[in-house]
Amino acid sequence: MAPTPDPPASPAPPAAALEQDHVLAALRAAVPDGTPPPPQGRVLAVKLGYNPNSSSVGSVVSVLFWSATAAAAALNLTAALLAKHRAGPPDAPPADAPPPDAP
Amino acid sequence: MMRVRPEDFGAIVALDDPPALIHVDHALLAWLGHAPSPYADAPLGHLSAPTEVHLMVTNRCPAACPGCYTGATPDGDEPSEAALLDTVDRLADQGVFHLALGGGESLLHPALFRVAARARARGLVPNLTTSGLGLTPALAEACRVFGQVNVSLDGLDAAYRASRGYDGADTALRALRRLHAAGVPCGVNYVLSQATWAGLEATTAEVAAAGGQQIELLRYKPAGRGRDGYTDRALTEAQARALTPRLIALAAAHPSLEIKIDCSLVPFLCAADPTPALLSQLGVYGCEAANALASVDARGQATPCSFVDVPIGDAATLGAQWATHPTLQRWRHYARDEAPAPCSGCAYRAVCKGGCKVVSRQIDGDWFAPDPECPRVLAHRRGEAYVPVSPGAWPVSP
Ligand code: SF4
Ligand code: SF4
Repeated sequence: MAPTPDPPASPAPPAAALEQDHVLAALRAAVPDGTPPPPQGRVLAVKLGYNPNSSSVGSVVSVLFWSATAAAAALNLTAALLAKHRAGPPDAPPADAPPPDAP
Repeated sequence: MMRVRPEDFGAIVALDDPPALIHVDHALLAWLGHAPSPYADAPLGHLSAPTEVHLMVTNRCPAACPGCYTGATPDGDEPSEAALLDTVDRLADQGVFHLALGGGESLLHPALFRVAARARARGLVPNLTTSGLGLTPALAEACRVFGQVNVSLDGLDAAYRASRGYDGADTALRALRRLHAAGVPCGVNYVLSQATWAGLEATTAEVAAAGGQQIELLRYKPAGRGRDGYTDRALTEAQARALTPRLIALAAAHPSLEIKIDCSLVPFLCAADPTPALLSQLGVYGCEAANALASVDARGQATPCSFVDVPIGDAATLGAQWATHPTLQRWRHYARDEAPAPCSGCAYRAVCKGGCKVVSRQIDGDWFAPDPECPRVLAHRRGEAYVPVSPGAWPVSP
């Protein structure tokens, strides 16, 4: 056992607080309502924010604390964000994209 | 702006609004209209370049904090503007996305803003760490060139003094208010040590009130002057175990604030048994030295991480040596190839990567040993089964 007893468990943050989460709010603000996710492929991971720390590398953990649903929402919103950034009509390559066989 | 860098798994897509590095698979890369990754059929087994490089623009600083990990002094090393611009160009050529500029006190370098402007011109996002000393309102306006600026703030009043050796909390908070007023995304870097442990909540409240959008917690590390008296400053095992429940409470109290932890705190996060896959999906990075991260010191030497005084050559050769340099290879593959128990059988090995090697070097005399302050490692060394922290406290449970 650890030499000192652990502190009491923290209660899960209230669901209402999730609505104010900075990271999710920024994603929601960037993605118009109803933006469909890309029809193919997957977002494997998303690292949100910059790292203005010149010594070590940081990770946002607050999203992890809300719920598994919030974490999934972050990934889904990220996929929709990519769809928004893809130029051109749906299912067509962006106008400035290299041809599929470009090196 | 969207930048795309091919990788083994597909690509990394970098966005600025909101800032994100997104790992996509090959199918999504194709749908985005980009050519297939050249690494699809010839995997590298690591990232094609760091995503982020820490660039020390000076090792000069008037503050002389007792725990300074770079050992900065008022007349410390300082690279020329030409050397810094050359490094920026080479990192841009390599495909690096983000540049974290620091010191010493970065604001002392007369070319700081020109270096940042060059980074922007080359498609890199420059970010800045500062103590806030000398950050006038005019300089705060100039800081709009940065993606984000974080001010070092290790507590209020006596706690700041105990950590840094001078009264700098008011200066730091004033700098934060100036940055916020200038519309610069800003936050605070807070070094967690025994001296600063108690002040986290009060400091977080001040950061939120001053307009900071983020608090990033850093583990106190034994590097530079920080090696002296390390064990009296490092967090205790009980504090390491208490960290995650405390962060959950902090997130609940300040939902609009981003709460970040640095790579070296990941073993303490993992002590509370989060779901490993979620950590990967949400980009939680453990020891990414020589993979997502590399560093260039004030003498222009590249190292796997800012705390690691193991130079691998000058910054100009980083790109050419990235895939093949034996030091870089060993650092990036340590957790996969040689980490002993308990890391070898740990569910968090792929994310945590064996914990902070700087602490391993200090305590065990070996960079390549399990993090000796990880609660799992401590239990293993005592011959005990590991008991996770506060089961039930973690909303995201497996
Ligand atoms: S050695 Fe690894 S965990 Fe420690 S500060 Fe460097 S990158 Fe982070
Ligand atoms: S046992 Fe090793 S891999 Fe697992 S959390 Fe601890 S340091 Fe990280």
